[in-house]
Amino acid sequence: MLTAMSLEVRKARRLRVVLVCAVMVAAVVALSCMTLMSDSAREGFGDPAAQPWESLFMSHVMIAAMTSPLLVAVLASRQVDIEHQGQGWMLSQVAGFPPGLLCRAKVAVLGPLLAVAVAVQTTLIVTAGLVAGITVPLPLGTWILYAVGLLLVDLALLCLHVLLAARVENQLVGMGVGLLGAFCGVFSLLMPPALARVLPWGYYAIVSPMGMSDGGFVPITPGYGWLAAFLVLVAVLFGTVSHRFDRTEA
Amino acid sequence: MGMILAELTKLRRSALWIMAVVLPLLAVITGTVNYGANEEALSSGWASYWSQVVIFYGMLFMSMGIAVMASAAWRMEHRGHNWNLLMATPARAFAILGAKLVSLALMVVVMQLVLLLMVVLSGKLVLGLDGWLPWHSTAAALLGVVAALPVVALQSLLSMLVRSFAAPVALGLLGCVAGAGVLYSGVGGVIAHVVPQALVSRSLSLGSTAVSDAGAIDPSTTSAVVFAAVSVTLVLWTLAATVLSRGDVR
Repeated sequence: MLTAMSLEVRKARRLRVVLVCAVMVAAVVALSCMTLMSDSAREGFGDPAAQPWESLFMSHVMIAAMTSPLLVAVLASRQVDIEHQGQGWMLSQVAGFPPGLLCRAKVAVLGPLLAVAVAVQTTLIVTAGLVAGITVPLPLGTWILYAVGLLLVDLALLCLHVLLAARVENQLVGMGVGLLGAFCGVFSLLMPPALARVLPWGYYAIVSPMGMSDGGFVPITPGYGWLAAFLVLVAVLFGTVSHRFDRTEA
Repeated sequence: MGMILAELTKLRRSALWIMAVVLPLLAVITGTVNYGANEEALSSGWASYWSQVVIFYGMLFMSMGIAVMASAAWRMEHRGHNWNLLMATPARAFAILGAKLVSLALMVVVMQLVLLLMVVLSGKLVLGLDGWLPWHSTAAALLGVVAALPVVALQSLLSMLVRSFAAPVALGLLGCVAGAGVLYSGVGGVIAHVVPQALVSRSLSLGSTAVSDAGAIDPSTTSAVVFAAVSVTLVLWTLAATVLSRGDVR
């Protein structure tokens, strides 16, 4: 596994995966911070009743739900597509790395990269808020809690996208599903919770520790029970399917 | 003409039409749900409903859909020995690219017609709105086809140069961020007309009630959009043809 991972790191380096990731993180940060630009928002930076951090946070939640499915689909597709293009499945299998192992190694390499991306994006948005002049105390716990939840959902979707990209050679399918996910993600915040729990992208809304009500933004308890069940389900699915890949011909 | 037919034959087998139908359908479903849930706040009937449909579609999903379609259209040329076959075709680079652009533009036409049809059906049958879709919404949707031409040309250029399926899509997302930034920061003038994705967002939001300072759809704004779209498309088309005729893409 370690050898397979080191090979994946080399592939990722030549595929400039970090650059792709940086582009996407820049996009999320820029879109999330757009709310800081308006004059009406600026006036409320020192007023707790105007909920400046909450407003920035919800903007981040919405943009993350919209762009994370795309980021995950892009990363998975880029890392898996080379195997299809260069007959890498067959080559690796001959060298003793069956397709399932290759998929697990890809997730193991892209996962930490996603963790760094989420951490950097959260830090940059909070820093932008501070630099823009929000003087209300920062609810750091909410941001950390959400960042962890976001990463877990990203990792689960990464597993599913790697399997999809490996199984279906036409990457249009994976990217199309990612785009569909982006749609579902952004509207999962408006969906009834029961529907959000059924869709994999609905979990972007379920992990949010804040919600919208008539009186503004209110803290809510994220559905951690549902999230845990979803993660276990994805882990079992990924394990089973990737082991099946190991026993089939590349 | 023969080359365009050849391109359409290639696209017919690549399941791209699913993209052209599903994306507008999702925009209409989410717009309908959003309008239905906030009927008290959104009181101006068809105009509000239309604005809810196109707000995210214009900002992100239409441009991203085009990015995915352009990647798919060029992917087949990068596979196997197709690139050599394409380069050995007795046709100028300008004509090869023209055929790609026309076939992709036809997909965008289908996308917009599906959008209009679904909007009217859903507005009449699901929401039971009185009257018909205002003419300015129809005009904005059709203007969107012209405004999308620079995005088609840009994504086609990127997908031609980059062999990976996902990388041009990621760059397209960055373009959408720039577009949204230009639209919401109120920077008008040349920049709003030169950034391809901004042109799509701008033309679809003309006459919208969800974007402040969206502007009305009148002869001067329309001609500005059309002029900008045609000029940017021609520049990108010429650039792509020059690149293709001067060197090989490997």
